[in-house]
Amino acid sequence: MMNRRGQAATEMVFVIPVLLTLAAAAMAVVYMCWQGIKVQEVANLAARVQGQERVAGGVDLATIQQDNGTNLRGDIDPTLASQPLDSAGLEALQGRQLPRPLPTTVYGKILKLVRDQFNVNELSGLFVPEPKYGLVGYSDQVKVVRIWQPPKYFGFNVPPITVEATAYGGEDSHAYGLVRWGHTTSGGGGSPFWAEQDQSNGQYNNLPNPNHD
Amino acid sequence: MKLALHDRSGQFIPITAMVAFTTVIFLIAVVNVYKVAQAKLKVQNLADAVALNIASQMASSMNKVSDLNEWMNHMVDMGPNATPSTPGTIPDCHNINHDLPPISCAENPNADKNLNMFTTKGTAASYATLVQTINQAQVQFINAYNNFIGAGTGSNSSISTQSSLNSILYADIPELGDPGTSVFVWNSQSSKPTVQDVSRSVALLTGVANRAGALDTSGMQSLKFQIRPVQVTYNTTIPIINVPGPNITKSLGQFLVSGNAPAPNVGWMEPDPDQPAISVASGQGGTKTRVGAGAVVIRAISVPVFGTVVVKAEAQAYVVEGSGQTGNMVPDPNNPAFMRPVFQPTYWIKLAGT
Repeated sequence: MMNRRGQAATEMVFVIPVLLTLAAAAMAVVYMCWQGIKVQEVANLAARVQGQERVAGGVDLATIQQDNGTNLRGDIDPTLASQPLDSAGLEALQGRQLPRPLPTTVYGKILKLVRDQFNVNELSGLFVPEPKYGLVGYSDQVKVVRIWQPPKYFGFNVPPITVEATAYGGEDSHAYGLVRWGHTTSGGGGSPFWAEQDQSNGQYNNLPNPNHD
Repeated sequence: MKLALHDRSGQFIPITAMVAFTTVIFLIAVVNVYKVAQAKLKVQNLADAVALNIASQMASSMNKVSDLNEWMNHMVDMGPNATPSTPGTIPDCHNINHDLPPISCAENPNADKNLNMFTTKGTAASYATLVQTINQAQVQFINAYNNFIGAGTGSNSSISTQSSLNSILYADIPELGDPGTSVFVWNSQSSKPTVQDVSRSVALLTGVANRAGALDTSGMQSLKFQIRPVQVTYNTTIPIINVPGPNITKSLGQFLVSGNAPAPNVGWMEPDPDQPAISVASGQGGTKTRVGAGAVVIRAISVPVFGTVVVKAEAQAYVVEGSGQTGNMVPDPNNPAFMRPVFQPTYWIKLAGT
C-alpha cells in the first residue's frame, strides 16, 4: 500500500487522455468561434452585395432571375432540416452537386465572394442559400452556414458542429419605378446592369455622382 | 510534514487540475470574446440595414416626385420632328404642342414670343388643371412615404405612422424584433437620440437579455417639398374684329381660382430647402449635411459567467448629393438666356461614416 513506485505512470494513463480531450475540445471551441466570426463577417459583406446589386427590372421574369442568378437554386439551407444534422446527413449534403449560378450574376458574385474567404478544405461544409427578398422589399436577407465535422476521437463519431450567420442589406433606390434594371434585351445580352458597385475597388459604376459625394 | 513535502509521487493530478482549470477559464474567455465580437458584427449589420432601409425610402420619395415632374415632360407625343428628351435633359421646346407643353417648356413669365404661348386662355386653364392633378398625386405620394418612414400624419385615423415604419422594418429585418434588441432611428440631426436616451435603453437591457425591445421613431421628421409656381402666357383675340389681342401672363394657379382668391401653387415640385438632414463625415475630417437617416441598434446578449453584456452599433446612410435632379435650372440649348428645369429620378444612397 505504501509503495508509491509507478504511481506517476499510473496517473499518466488516466490523465493524458483527459488532457488530450481537453486540448481537443479547446481547439474545437476556438476553431468554431473563429469560424463563427468569419461566417458573420462574410454574411455582412454578402448582404451588401445583394443590397447593392439585386436586379428588379428587365425584359421578363426569367431575365430578371437570370441576372440575379436565382434561376438555378444553388445551395440548400441545411439549417432548415427538421432534425439536427448527423455525420451521415452532412456527407449526403456534401455529395449533392447542385447547378451553381454564373459568377456574373448577383447570387454568383455572392457565392464567389463567400467561398473565396475560406480555404479549399472548408468549402465542402460551406452553404450559401439563395438570398431571400424582404417582405416589403427594401432589405434582403443573406445567410451563410458553415458545418464542420470534427475528426473521430478514440473511435467516437462527434456530431457536426454548425455555425450560421444572417445579414441584411438593401439600397434599392436607383430610379423609382425603374428599379435596378438588369439586361434589357431578350436572351440576356445588351445593356449592362444599370447600377452597381464594383467590390474590387469600391467605385460606383453607372451611377450619377457628379459631385463625387 | 517534511516527508510529505519531499514526496514527489502523484504530481500529475494537481498539475492536470491546474491545466484543466486554466483551460476552462481560457475557454470561457474565448467564448465570451466570440459572443461579444459576433454580436457586435451582427448589430452593426442591423444598424447599417436599418439606416439603408429608411434612407432608401427617403430616396424613393425624392425619386417619385422627380419622376412625376419628368412624367409631365412626356405627357403627349411631341410629334415626328421633335427629339424625345431623356431624364436630366431639356426637351426640344421648339417642336412641341403649345397647348400641352412639357412642363420644362411651359414657363413664359414675360410674354416672350420665343417661348411657349398657349393658343387660348381655355387651353392654358386645361393645362393648369392637368398639372394641378399631378401635383395632388405628388402630395399623396409624399404623404405616403412620410408615413412609411414614421414621420407623417397618417392618411386616416386608423394608420399610425410609427406602426408603418415598425411594420416595414420588422417585415424586412425580422431580427430587429428579437428580445433584448432596441432600435433608435432619426433623419434630423436635431432629433438624433442623445447619449442619455441610449444609455437609458442600455440600462433597461443590462442584466435582462430577454426583455422585449423597442423601436423608437421619435427622431423621424417628414420630408418637405414645395411647388414651384409656373408662369405661362396665352394668346388672346379681340372679339368682333377678330384680331390678335395682348398676350397675357398668369401663374397656372391663377387659372384655377376666380376673382381675387389666393391662387394655389401649380407647377413642378422640388425639395424644400428647409429639409431635415443629418450630419455625416465628409472624408476630409469634416462633416457635411445630407438628407439621410441614422440608426442605433442595442442588443443584450448572454455570456457565460458575466451574465448579460449590451452591445451597440450606429450607422448613417444618406442620399448622394447630385445623384438625381429635381428642378435644377440649366440653360435652354435653343435659347441660352433662358433657364429651364430638368428632372432625373436617379437618387441613390450610400452608407456614411459616423
